Amino acid sequence: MDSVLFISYVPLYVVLVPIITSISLYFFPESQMLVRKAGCFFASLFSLGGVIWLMPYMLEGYVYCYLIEFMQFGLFFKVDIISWVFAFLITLVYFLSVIFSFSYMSFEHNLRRYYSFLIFTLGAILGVVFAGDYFSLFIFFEIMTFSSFVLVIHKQDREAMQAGSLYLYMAIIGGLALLFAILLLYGCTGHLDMVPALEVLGNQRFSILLLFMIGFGIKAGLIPLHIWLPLAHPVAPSPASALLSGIMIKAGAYGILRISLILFRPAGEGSTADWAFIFNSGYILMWIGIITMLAGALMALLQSNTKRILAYSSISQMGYIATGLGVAIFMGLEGAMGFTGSLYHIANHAIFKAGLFSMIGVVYMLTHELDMSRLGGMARKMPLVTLTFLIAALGIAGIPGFNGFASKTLIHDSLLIAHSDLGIYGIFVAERVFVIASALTICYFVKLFHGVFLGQVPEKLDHKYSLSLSANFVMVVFAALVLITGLFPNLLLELLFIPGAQILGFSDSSLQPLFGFGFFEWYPLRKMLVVILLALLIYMPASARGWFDWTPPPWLSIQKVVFKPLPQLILSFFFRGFNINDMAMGQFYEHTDNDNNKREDYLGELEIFPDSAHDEAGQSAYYTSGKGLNRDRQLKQHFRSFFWWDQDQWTIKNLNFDNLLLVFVLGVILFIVFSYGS
Amino acid sequence: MGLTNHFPALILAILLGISFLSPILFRWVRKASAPALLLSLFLALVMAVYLLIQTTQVGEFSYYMGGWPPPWGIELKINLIRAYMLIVVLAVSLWIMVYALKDLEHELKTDVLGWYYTLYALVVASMAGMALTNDLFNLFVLMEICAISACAIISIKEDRACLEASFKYLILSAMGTGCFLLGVAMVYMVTGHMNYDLVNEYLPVAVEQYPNNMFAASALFIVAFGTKAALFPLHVWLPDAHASAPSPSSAMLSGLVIKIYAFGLFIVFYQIFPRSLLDSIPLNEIILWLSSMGIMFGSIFAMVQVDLKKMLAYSSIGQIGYVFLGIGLDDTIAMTGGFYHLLVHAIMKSMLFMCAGVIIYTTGIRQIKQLGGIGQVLPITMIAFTIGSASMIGIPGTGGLISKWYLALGALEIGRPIFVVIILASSLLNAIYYMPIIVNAFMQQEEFAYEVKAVPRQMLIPLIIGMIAIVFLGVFSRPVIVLLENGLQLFF
Repeated sequence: MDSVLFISYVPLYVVLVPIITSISLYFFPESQMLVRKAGCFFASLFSLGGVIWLMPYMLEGYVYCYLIEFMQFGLFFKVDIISWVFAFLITLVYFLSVIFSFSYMSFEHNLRRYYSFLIFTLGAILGVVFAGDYFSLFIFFEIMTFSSFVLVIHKQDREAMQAGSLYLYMAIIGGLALLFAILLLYGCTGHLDMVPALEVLGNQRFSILLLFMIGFGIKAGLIPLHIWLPLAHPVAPSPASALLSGIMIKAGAYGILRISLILFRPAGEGSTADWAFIFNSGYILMWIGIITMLAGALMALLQSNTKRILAYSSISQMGYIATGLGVAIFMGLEGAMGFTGSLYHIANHAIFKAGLFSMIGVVYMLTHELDMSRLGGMARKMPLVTLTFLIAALGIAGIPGFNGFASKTLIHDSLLIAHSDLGIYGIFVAERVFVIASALTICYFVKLFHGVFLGQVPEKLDHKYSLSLSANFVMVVFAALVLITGLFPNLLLELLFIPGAQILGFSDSSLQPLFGFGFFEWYPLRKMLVVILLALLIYMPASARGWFDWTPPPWLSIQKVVFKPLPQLILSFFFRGFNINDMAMGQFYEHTDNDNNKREDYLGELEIFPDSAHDEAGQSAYYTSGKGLNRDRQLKQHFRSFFWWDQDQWTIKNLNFDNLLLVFVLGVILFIVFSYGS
Repeated sequence: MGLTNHFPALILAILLGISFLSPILFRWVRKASAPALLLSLFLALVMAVYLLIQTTQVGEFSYYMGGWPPPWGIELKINLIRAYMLIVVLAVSLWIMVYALKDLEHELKTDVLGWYYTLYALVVASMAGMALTNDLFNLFVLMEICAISACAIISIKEDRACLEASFKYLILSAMGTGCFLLGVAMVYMVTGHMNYDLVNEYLPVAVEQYPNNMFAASALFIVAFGTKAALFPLHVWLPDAHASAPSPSSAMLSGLVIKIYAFGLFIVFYQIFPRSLLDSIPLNEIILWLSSMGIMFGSIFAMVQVDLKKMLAYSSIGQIGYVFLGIGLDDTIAMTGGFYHLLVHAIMKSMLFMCAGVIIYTTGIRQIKQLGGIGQVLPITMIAFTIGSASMIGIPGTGGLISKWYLALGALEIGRPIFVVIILASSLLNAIYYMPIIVNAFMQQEEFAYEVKAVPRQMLIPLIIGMIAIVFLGVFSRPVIVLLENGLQLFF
């Protein structure tokens, strides 16, 4: 396909307008809410409009935009159809979330900060997906991390701060991994354009891939890097949770997509690229996806906090996306099915997960309850919320007629095709696990729906609820999107996702089955029926016997097993050394003091007064600092038994430690220099 | 035209002159003393910019003091790197002085202010001299002037901690200069010259004939400059000295004084020593590992500090490590990064010390623990602190990222990815101790618990300038990088 090149500054405006709006809104006083809301509304509307305006160009080729003299490499935007799909989802969900914020946030504090950073993050995420080279991508990725941090800790209570700091440190580690990867890449290729370059990477390809995967995997919430996600997403305000879960984690998926399907591809025909390496990386990514999918679903089943179920569900759904990508990678040029499936699922997940968070947010806004055990019977109180929630939940569960069905079918079919083509037993196992995870997805949504909307209304919550028009509008739009996509699954597939697969160079033979894919034929429907039956088989006995209330033991938590002890170990390794050193120092000083005191006792009567004052001062200073007194005593014994010398003559206090150090270093350097030189 | 030829000497003359004049001015025309200092710093800066423009046009050129050519007279030399150092020194010290005018009134007794100006001008003059001089003995004299006046601007506060710290600094830096003098003597012994270029000319032969002399001299130079610039195991004087000094002095010492010695080591390694000496003995290797250890341990020590200024001081130990890393990596790209970091760190660390100074001025608080919620009452100060910290961590949009980028690229180019790991790991460590302060300052639920004075505008304006400078250096880094790349080509 010949792609035409357009030069346009619209991508730049789409990124910059929200950022500039955000900064200027910050200077308005707290009280002027109308200006603030209008600013956010129009900025997000502008971005949405700008992205839609780019649509016709996308169908024919690329849009370039280059801003030289900015940062080191210049700012470079390149929008192709894949970026456009992400950008459209981002702006759409953002637009709806901004509207939802108007009613949800009206009772919250610190709105100036919230709205400014909300709209700032929009610009940053759009920058991530528009970026045309890895340096621009990295810059916007980092900006996105830091501005979304403010959204995570909006509540500022203890829980939010803890979740926020975990998020921040994980994100910084991810950012540094990205920077390292980009540096290595630059060292190998000498440029940072997004072009296939597997041959050039040589033997550094493994470390580059690993570092990129860590960097983007943290954001995407892939196991075992997901630990921040179930903590950070629930504590944010609901519109922000919707954005974090619906949009922000997709930035990680976008990065993985750009790396694995563009960078780690052979450049051009007849290249000597290492297909075994590509296969292995894809196969491992698929298994990470499968594990993420299953573990996320299991963890979601065991939660009772509604938002936390949704957060774990996001992890699980990211597993689907990673599985699809993995299949697309290891199938090489034949992987169009897996790729379109996972791109489709990215779109679907953005819609229904943002919708679900908004709906749970509405429930929270009205009842101030997030725990399922204290909710129930909301179907009678809020029929519209119930209906839209049901539609979105059916979407995520993959029921035919709702949007999740199409993407899950594609991913599942890609697994089946991979198995029949390659005949690897592992893929067969993965396909089985896929079915189980899908069944578990249905289970936890049944549990969630049952817990919140069915059953008895608790006495405390038994009054009339009314909801603002804007919140209703948002929920209805989300539900409508789920339904429209679900009822006409081929529409988006042929309009957006197949062209997306075409620019990545998948072969025509693998693209062919996707045109007019029969979603509503008996074969995919039958597989879905199996999943639903399996879900019933799991749900019935499990809910009757209360298996869902089981709390997993701490040794199963990755955070407790790996991420907490590791830094502790490293830090304690350093600090224990310093502590011993410090205590030993204090000990030496104390000896000298004691010796001095002893000597001073023999001096004449005249000097008693100043001496005892000095002595007392020393003693009190010693005792006030004396947390480690007992340990000091032990150390004293320890040191005496090890290094015995006459302390009256030879203490560290009457030798100048600093100057000794200098002489010591000089000696060492002299030694090195002479031993090398001669 | 006649006057412009004498600009290199005039810069030093103006600064030394104002240092002698300011106590007199302070005694008789008190109001004029501070503006006179600012004016002379500004004049010197203008001349330095003129020199930079001149050297971009005509290349490297020399100035002979009193018209005496090198073997007898003192030679001042100007090339791109030296002009760059000169401008960094003069611009940053002018900027700090603007801030200092208000802060010093609070921290010092009124009658010593005139003397403070003297010492300040002396420190700046000696640093400018070190950037310009082309003579080893001259360098030694300027190092002594710098050390003693730096000691005095620490101890001028006259409390116990300052006196103790400055005494420690005095002793250690005297040891350092002693090492330097011994090294110079050894070089003089084998070459018979003091001028950099002449020494460089005779050294290749001398190294063949008297290798031991040069080995000892190189070790002595490393220890001398290492002590002065707080290279890792020799940093012991720095935390006390920088933390207890008045805030403008801390900004000056952490921002500039330790850098100029790193520059001195660079000159010794790449202008004086012949290439064969660097290749035959692992001098760069020593610098590399000491600086990496400094980068890591400086950050780790900083993490456990409770005093804000002490934390900043320990952080300086880590940050000077980057500059030394650039020197030790022996690669144009890495060195560009190191020199860029020299500028960026001069600005950001000075700014952070200024922020600490504002906090102490308005609230009297030094403990990190007590800073919760301070962002609500001192917003501009804490935003400046945030931008400075962001630059320390290397967040995109700040100068810190650019210097780390170049250092890391240089490390990769010579095939030592381990140093990239160290650079990135230290970024993480920086984040670990800077982030909690910022997060607590802005996001804490409780109100700030202490009384707050109003911040004078004179203190805020330098902070705002600093913020703009850091972001500018992060976004439009190209001109400075090109200048450094051109300048460093002279040395390779």
